[in-house]
Amino acid sequence: MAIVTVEDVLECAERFEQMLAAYYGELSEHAAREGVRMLTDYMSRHRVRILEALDKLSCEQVDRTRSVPLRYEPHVADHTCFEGVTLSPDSDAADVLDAAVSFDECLVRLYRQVLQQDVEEDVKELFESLLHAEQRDEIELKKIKAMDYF
Amino acid sequence: MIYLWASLVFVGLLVGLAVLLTVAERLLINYGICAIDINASETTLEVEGGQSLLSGLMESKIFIPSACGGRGSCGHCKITVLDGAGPVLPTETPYLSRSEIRSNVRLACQVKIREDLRVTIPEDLLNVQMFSATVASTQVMTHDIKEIRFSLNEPTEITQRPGQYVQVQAPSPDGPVFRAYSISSPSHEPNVVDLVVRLVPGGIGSTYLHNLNVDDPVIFTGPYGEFHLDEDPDTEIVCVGGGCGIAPMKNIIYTLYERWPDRKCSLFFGCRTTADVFYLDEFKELAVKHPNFKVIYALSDPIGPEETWDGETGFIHLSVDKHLEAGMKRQAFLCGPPPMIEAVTHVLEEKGLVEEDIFYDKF
Repeated sequence: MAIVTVEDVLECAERFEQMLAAYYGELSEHAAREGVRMLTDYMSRHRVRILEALDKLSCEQVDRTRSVPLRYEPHVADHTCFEGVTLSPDSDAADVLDAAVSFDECLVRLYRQVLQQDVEEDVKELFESLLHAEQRDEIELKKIKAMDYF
Repeated sequence: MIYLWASLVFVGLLVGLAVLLTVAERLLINYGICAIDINASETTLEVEGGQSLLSGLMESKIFIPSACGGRGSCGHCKITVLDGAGPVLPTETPYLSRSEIRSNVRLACQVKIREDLRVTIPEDLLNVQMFSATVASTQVMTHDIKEIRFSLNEPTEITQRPGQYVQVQAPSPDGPVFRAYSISSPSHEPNVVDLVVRLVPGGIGSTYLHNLNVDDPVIFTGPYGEFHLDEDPDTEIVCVGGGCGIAPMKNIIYTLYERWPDRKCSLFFGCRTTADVFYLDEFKELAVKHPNFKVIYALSDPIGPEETWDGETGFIHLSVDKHLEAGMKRQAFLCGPPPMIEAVTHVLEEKGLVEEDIFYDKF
């Protein structure tokens, strides 16, 4: 368990968002099915939007809390999250959406890790917002899967 | 082993403390009766303090939409609270934009009534009622979609606009929850409410509804939704649905032709395979009666060797692009997953529709 700062955790989340945007973008380029292409293109752009929001957040609102120390378990939201995922250009939309939910879970675990600590109110507020946004995203992915359109 | 016991004792202490604090708050802090002033004193309610604003309003038969049962996880119960709500909570911020926060929009489930409140509630929501009904019929439409008809008992009639939805109360291990479903029956049939429900494995609402039998009782609130059909008969209506998103379209189309038999309307519906197609024959019959009604269904999966299909193929936004001429006066209603909505919106804007003419349910 390492000691890092709020800024480090946010940077970790940003790096993971970048990975997701690139991963979905890559899938979109090579997907054999038109539906998966359309879906992953949307998901890639969605992750870029989240990344931009995170970036904005870390500039505007985090200044006061960015150096607050936190305990941090590494490899919660990084390349290791992709290790068990075996998506290929032939994967269908349901497989892609299941994988996307598992990636969201990595971010949920990252944010929960912070919230389980005795942190000051500002930090708690920031990570609660991020956690809720990620949980909402998970629900949206599950609803897309339930509509069985792609 | 000792670590396990230590953890258990620690968790037990935390739970005990939380229970103690909750009980202490209930017993020791008495907020008394608080007043809720609605829409600049048009109505004033007196409710028990200490509960959420959502519960307080519901107690007084004002039903704000909420799909999560007040847990703060759906973001549907937005209302404007002008006074008495305290600061915005972190549990609310993910659901509120900056401009909403500036305009005092809050999640009613997260606002605790501690003092008198001043709120603004849209007129439509003040007309929402709780209905008790009975299942009149259930019909299997596809391998995972059912049409369920409710016959209304109390009140016996619903006044709804096409495109609106109801929230059905479904039992869950954590108590009753509400799930939103579009009304598919037309507004000129006020004694019934039809829903089209796709079974989602593990889904609380859809599992409950799919297991209902004729004569079973149901409770729902409604109608909700801000869609207003353009009253100008020269405005063409464009309905685009994907997956199982056809319920609001059915309501719009049948209501439309009851009032304006010659009005122009195009229905585009996209699904994956012939096994997912439903209502097509019914819509084709309607198109024979009303020549200005066009029906276009499209399948996105490749047609299997044993399937027969003479309709469109590909995703539905491509059919919209192919069949819709640019430049007409139109209003569009969309229902489907966000990437479909995005793709269709893009096509419609290219055809000359502006943002204000394109409506869709928030996903």
